[in-house]
Amino acid sequence: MKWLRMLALYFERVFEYRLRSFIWLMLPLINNFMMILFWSGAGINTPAISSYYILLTVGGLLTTSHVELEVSDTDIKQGQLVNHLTKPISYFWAQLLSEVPYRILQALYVSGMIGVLLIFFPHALTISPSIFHIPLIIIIFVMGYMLSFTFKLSLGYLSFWFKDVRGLTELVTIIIIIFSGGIMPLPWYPSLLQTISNILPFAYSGYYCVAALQGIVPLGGLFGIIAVQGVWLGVLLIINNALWVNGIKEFTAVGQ
Amino acid sequence: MKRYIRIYKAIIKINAALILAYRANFINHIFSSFAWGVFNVVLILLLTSKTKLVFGWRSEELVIITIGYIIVTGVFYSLFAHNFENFSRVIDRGEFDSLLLKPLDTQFQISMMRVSFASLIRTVFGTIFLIWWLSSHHFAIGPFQVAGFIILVGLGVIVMYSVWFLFIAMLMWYPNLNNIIELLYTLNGFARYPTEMFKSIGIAPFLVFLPLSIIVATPVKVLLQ
Repeated sequence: MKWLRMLALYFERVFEYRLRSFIWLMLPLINNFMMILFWSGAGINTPAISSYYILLTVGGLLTTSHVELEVSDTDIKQGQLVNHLTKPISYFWAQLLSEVPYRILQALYVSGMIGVLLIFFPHALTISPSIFHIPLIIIIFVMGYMLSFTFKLSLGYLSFWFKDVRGLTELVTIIIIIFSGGIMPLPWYPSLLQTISNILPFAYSGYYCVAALQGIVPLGGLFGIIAVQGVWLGVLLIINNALWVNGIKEFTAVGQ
Repeated sequence: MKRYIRIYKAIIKINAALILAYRANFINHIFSSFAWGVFNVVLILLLTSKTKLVFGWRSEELVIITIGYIIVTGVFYSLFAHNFENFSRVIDRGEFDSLLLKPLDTQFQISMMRVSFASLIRTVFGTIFLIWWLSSHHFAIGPFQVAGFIILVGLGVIVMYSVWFLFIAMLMWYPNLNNIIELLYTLNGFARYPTEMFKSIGIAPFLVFLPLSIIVATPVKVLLQ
């Protein structure tokens, strides 16, 4: 009941500012629209590349967490973390729960967007996963989101030690865009960048989610993606926990 | 006019003093501003690694558009963008009436009270990179082309200011829409691609994107003539 009540409150907050949420939807949409236009000018205007950027928008909205700024600025720097510490729920789960309504609203927008797209441009989107792949694709998306969330939360925790992590956050954003396949599909990258992308966790909440949805990854490959996501999630959860346990000792808040 | 120039000089001095007061913050902003400048170069180098010609522009010329974009945005973000970032808070917290009552033009106060020296690093980086790129790729550039480029970059900054101001004015009706700034930063991205790219999607959308798409492409065309 406690969880449901909290979820309802978070839903209320997200749905109060629907237009703001719509603008967040517009950002990746505009960026990826520019990419589709760019490739059309280069003579590479295949449905596969349009699909890639459309699905990258969808994947980005569903699997990319933006929790780090609220954690670092509002909770740690401004001291709002005190409110969370007195609640009978861990901070990790509270943050995760607060993002669920946001994801649902984004999913609603995305469904509408894809619906309109399929009506007016039926050939712009090619998704061909086998029906048997769908449960695995759902797992890949959930794990992709968990990877992004845990990483961004850990990034926010750095504010326990540093006064301003904005510069670092922006640098990490750039690294994520490059190594998650945010510029173009990973197989198009130079081999060195491909290798680095495959080692780092970012492609597993970006490119590989899109590739799975496009249907270009065989069944064995889907299991491979989930395995790597699992390993990275384990590593990030350990780091996240260590940062929290040590960071909370640095936190002080005073009031009258 | 003279009065406003005098006031703006005082604003620059105050903002310079703030650098000394918040040194870590300044270094942090220099770092992130530089990183975004480098990212734009990496982005276009990656894109042009797959293709040599886009809408009639060679890959070396596309890199010059990107460098031009870095220079223009560096100037714009230094002079105006940080002021606009603050406007939502001014409206939301009811501070706008205090601006209206001051014996200074309100638009001047909204647009020019903050100067971000850290963002200028982008312009410096872009200018050095442009000189190196032009010389290493043997572009023959004369003084008239350089003068034309500088004048058109200045006009581009004014166009960018106008587009931003149109959007920012919406905050008077929707003060909670503070992420409109993020939308504007994203829309600015249109300026780093050739104008021809937007012609390909039809005349109506082209006219919508026209103001942003000519900001950088036009000065670069003059530079390369």
